[in-house]
Amino acid sequence: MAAAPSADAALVDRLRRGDRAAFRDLHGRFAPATFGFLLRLAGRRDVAEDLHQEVWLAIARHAARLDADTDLAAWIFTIARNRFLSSRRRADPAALAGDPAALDRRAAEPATTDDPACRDLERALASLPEVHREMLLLVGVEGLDAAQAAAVLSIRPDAARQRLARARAALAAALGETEGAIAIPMERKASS
Amino acid sequence: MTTPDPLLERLRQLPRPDDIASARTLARAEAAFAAARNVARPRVGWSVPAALALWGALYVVGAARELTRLYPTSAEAKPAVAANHRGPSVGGDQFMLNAISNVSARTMATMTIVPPLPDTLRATSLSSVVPLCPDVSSDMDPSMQVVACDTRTAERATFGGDRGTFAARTAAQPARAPHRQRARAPTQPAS
Repeated sequence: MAAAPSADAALVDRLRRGDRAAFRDLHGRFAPATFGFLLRLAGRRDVAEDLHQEVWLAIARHAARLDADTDLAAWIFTIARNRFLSSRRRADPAALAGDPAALDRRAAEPATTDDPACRDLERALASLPEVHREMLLLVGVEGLDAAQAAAVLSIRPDAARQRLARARAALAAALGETEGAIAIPMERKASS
Repeated sequence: MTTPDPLLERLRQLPRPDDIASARTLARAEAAFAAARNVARPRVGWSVPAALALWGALYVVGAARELTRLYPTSAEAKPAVAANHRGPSVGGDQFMLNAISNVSARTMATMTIVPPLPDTLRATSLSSVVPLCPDVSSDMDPSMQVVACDTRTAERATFGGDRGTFAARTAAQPARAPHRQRARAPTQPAS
């Protein structure tokens, strides 16, 4: 997802001149990523669709006033994350956290494949705390580097690296627990 | 980030979910982009400098007019009266005071001519200054809302009484003022 700075600069320059084709290029390049990011953060497709519209309306309103050296990926994912945080404050927190049914729904919603490995990975990702999940989504899924992720999360780059290491360990533990939960009955069955 | 992480690589292989509302989102966002472009750009471009220039021009014109009024030129400072007459004229009794010729036109403009007092007011007052006491009754004839009063009767006046009391009392002063000095006709010497 992290594009070359020259490509970003050319696109930003066209956006500053009000080029509508440049805006379509921007949408084509970032919209699938922002929707996936919002869907995996919110865990509900209807919420993600509403948030996605809000995000792109906000992008459209400010795209002509960008600075020339704007990092597009960091800027767009910052808007998306802020919109998600604002909507979560308005929403019922029990619908997204602490509710096992909501956790299952959140893990099942983003799954777009029948690959069991991908499904397990989605489920493990959905079970992580939000602070770890958003870091793994930015760096792992969307391909931002640590500096860009730090800009999105409003933290220092070294703090972003530490958070990424903890998030990665948490994901590995979640995957291990999932595999262990499956393996334990098989071991008990074999021992009995 | 240089060494490939297998776990992060697995995350990167996750499929992107489809957004079925993508076309609608793009249409709305593109319209908002065009509208924001049309509204925001020209407003900031020239309005602030134009407002500052207009304000500056008005300020300069106003300052120039005020300076002209405060420091008039020599031609405008000449008095409106004939300044060359000093002392009695040759043929008669016309006088112009020297002070008048030295007064600037600006001072002359502030001088007022006080008309002679009518006989009724002159009779109620010992001096040439007659204070005016406004009566604020709302149901009186507008022509009666300002009446002249004597300064000697002001101490005895009671405000807040019945409406018209003060005006009536003041109007009655000429009839009962004991200290009024009437102009006396020249008396004939006793024969």
